[in-house]
Amino acid sequence: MNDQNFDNKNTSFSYLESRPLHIGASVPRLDAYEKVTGKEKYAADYYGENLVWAGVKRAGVPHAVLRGIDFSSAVKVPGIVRVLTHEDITGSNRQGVIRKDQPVLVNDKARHCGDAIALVLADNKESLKEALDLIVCDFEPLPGVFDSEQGLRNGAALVHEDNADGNRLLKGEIKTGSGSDAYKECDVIVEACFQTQSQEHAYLETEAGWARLLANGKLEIVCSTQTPFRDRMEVAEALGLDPTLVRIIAPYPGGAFGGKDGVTVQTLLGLAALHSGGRPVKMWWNREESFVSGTKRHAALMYYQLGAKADGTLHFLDVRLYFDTGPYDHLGGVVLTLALEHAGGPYRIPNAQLTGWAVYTNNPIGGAFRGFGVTQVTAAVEQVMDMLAQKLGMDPVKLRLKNATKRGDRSCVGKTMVCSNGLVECLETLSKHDLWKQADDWKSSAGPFKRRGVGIAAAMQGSGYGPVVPDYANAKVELTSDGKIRVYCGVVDMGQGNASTNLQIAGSILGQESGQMELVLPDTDRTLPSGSASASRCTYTFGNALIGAAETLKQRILQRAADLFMASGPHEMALIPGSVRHLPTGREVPLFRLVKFFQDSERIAVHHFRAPVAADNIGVSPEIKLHGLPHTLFSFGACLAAVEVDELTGAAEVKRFLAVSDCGKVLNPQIYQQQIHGGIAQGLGYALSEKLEVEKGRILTTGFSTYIIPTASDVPEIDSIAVEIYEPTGPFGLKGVGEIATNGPLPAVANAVADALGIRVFESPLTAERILEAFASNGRQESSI
Amino acid sequence: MLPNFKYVRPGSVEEAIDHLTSEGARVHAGGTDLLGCLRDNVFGALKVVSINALDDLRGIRQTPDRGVRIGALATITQVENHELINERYKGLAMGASEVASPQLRNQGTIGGNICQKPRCWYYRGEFHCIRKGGNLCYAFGGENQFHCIFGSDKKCCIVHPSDIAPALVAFDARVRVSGHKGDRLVPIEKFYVLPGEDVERETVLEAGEIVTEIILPPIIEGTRSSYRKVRARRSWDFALAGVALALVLKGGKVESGRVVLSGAAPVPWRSHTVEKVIIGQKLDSKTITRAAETAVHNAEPLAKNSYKIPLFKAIIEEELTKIAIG
Ligand SMILES: Cc1cc2nc3c(=O)[nH]c(=O)nc-3n(C[C@H](O)[C@H](O)[C@H](O)COP(=O)(O)OP(=O)(O)OC[C@H]3O[C@@H](n4cnc5c(N)ncnc54)[C@H](O)[C@@H]3O)c2cc1C
Ligand code: SF4
Repeated sequence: MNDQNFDNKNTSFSYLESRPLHIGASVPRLDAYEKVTGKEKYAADYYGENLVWAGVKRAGVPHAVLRGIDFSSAVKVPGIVRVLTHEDITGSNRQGVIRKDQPVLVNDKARHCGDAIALVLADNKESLKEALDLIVCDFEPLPGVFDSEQGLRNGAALVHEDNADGNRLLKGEIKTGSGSDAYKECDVIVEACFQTQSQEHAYLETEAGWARLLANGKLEIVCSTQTPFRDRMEVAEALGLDPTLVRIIAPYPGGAFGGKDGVTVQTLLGLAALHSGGRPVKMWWNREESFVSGTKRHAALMYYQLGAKADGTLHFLDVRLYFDTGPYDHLGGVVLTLALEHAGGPYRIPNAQLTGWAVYTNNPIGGAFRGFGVTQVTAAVEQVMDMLAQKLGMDPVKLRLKNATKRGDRSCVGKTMVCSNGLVECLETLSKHDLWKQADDWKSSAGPFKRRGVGIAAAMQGSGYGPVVPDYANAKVELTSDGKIRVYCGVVDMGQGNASTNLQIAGSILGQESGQMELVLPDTDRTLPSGSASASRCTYTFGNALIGAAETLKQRILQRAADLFMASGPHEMALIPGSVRHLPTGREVPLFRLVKFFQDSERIAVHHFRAPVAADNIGVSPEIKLHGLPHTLFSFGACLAAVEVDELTGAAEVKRFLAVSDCGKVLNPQIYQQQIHGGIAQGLGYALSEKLEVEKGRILTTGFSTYIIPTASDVPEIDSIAVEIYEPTGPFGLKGVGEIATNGPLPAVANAVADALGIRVFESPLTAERILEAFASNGRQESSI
Repeated sequence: MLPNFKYVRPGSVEEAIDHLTSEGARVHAGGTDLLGCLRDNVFGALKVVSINALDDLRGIRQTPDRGVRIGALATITQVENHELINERYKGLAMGASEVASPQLRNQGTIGGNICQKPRCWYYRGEFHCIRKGGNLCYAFGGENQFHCIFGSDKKCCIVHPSDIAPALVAFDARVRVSGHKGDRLVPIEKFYVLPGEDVERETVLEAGEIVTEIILPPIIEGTRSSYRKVRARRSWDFALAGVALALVLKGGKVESGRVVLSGAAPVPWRSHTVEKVIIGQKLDSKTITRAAETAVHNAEPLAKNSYKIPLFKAIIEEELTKIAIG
């Protein structure tokens, strides 16, 4: 491999035939062929000559002072290149997105079982394993904190002694209207406490990467990440390097879902490469390590009180949220803030008192996960909505419709909703669907020992970064010297399909088919900073930038062609696949010819886009504002689960699922549907079976034979309907579709189970075991939702 | 990562037995359980003895007395799909079809299935519990929702993970064990060892012994059988609770038969109490309810698995009802 020129190839598409790329066309995703045939090169697929394997000694204890590390026997293992500890790090040795509180290698104490203690470099995997087993950590055990409420009590062990707020990472408080006092003005109030579990991302490709230090001092890291540009800064700071000497290359991750939003292997790989004598270094976590050290969806404890007038008009909401963020901030404060913002669901509630705590514990790290805090609170608010409907004797769809926000209304945090809002359309579409209209018939035809229920849920999901952190993208499009169109993606495609959508956007503007298009995946040296692949923002933010760049290039091409043809102006010219055509005469010039008349600097067009932010000041603290509240752009959805419960075993089976979503205009129906289906499958796992067993900070379910994710046979037939409301600020009217679908399944299933049995299970997942227990304690006949 | 070991693939049972008498030798059939155990360091291996070249251990065929002989290397898929087994030993075919996933059933063998190691997460994790030679069972005071409600002998509360073994017990199968001293035929009920007898082993196999075949006795006229498994996921998941039934019905009454629970005990758990209630009786709803009640009468649930009691009651009731209907 050439030292200076990294083989980050430009991808072109090995389709049998070139395909038109119109906006709205159901074009198969352009990465499908390479992925299905195994040709796609993931970060985990990088090797190279003279490779060094790097591996991590993990703490294995949840909370303990590190008194010493004895690696004297480990270094004697044949094939060991180096053993590195915190003493080998010259930078800050800290990483984190908002608060930098996570050590790269522990220097003072272990705060969870997955903490990295030492980094071993070896010639081969066998020596690496042997050496890792020989490293002895001298720990002085400390009492731990394993529950967020307990963590806030006086006298609880402290996870970070230097944190002024004890185990409190962030406390958020929002009051609107007359807050809690409004409960007096309600005719009905429902109250409940919900507990949701942590969830594993369970991507196919565990955390992996490859790195090397070039002779010129440049550190190159190829890794499975959602955040190449932020990684570059984090790695540089933690290791004490100049960020311009760090290059992050981001192939398609084999799944991420938020688990690769932030540094996983990057800094460790960088450190290893600094000490490998110029040899390339590879790190690839195995599944257990991924479970133990990777981030999780925050486990949450949520106290809810929701009050309404007798006619069903929502009047008051009181919420207390406890989010277990594990030992490090990661993105815990931001997750909590989104939870607060969405705590009241997509409804008008004039008086609210919302309080939330993100709490440090010695459990696994809580972090970003598709839905990002919204999933937890949606589970709660959509269940109390059903409880309220029951108490009022109201149809649950009607109660939601009555209180649904419309454009211009205020959300529960007092933010005026300025974006397009299709919630009412979603709910109305759902209520006209056969699965809802014929629910009674379906329920009454349950077989022996079966009970059936139908449950619904509505949701909204804010997208982008909120008012403070700039949410921008820089698109770059090139007319290559052989006449192709090359799109430089600044945002990672972790499987959502946004890289394909980018080609579709540029291709449709520039009149090209897939055969004329090339793609460059994110690379801090080749593509431009465009933020993270997260927050349902990828296609919205990058797409807007891309439209600008593609339009600029288009004008340049048409102008140059018009000049060549001595046409009266570019309006006489049109781009067609591979060529430009002079419309009045039908003469054409192929792009590979035309490009010869371009100077190199003209072949590239760039465009910057910055997402709009909320102008209104809703009076929240600057800290909460910094953490992202409020958002401006929201996607909406309503969904329905038809569930059959086995009375004997308690097992709940989702028979049918309907999702109606408003994510703006649909650019590619296939990719849209894949996002909705995937979100639902992940949401159903969360609803029914995914249960991370953690005992005193130690995960017992570190593989897929005990951590039960759904398989194809567990996911029912899904109807997905898009309510396409045009969003004026979006590229071609689009909003984000990446997360909304994950939020509905848990509350919809829980509502369906309650509908079937007359019993509500307040703790997720709703395993057969819990449903049976609820049965046993409530009695089979009694109804007490 | 796998430990370093020697790998041999002997050509005869005798040779295999020779290899297996050496220190740290392990049988390798389909490897679906063995390799996981080695990789997770549940136990070590100095020598891995593949029995895959022993063609005599393959195949499923009828015996002269109209029983069925299943070679230890018959895959679970073969058991699941075999015509004779489906026709006569339906409960066994059903048990086989409930195992793991299609891929694992193609690769896993029946011999390996009945010899598989426990799935307790402490055992499979880095905990040095009694079963691994330590002195503590972590599950009694820990996360025990998937552990046993019978037969722990207060030592170890695993459940036997197999879906096939309960059906074999229900049909009173015998296991042919070959070793240095020759062959012996062990009734499958006696093949398994309770923690009270020896907490460090699951079967009676001695060093150097392998299972070569499984013999099903001829089916008795009027036998009805089934296997019911409850689990969290439709594929690739072990039983929370299960029941294998093989009952002989004559003149509307249960003449003889066996009721065997899975997910209940460290071994496939024969429920003599249920058998006592139903044998000689008509399977009417009163008998069935009483049978289900008594099934869990002596259960000793742990802190987190009492849900198994209603679960067993329910599936026994359900399955007996189905058998009664035919
Ligand atoms: C993810 C997963 C899910 C599973 N789910 C289920 C399930 O739902 N139900 C279920 O019943 N099983 C389940 N299993 C277990 C699976 O059925 C067994 O792994 C398989 O049957 C073992 O067969 P094998 O041929 O691969 O055995 P191997 O892995 O080769 O051997 C298993 C053990 O038996 C010993 N052994 C093998 N053959 C012999 C022999 N002839 N004589 C003496 N000892 C022998 C080996 O030394 C080893 O200790 C699951 C396994 C996995 C990995
Ligand atoms: S149940 Fe058995 S295998 Fe599990 S920890 Fe206890 S002794 Fe070990």
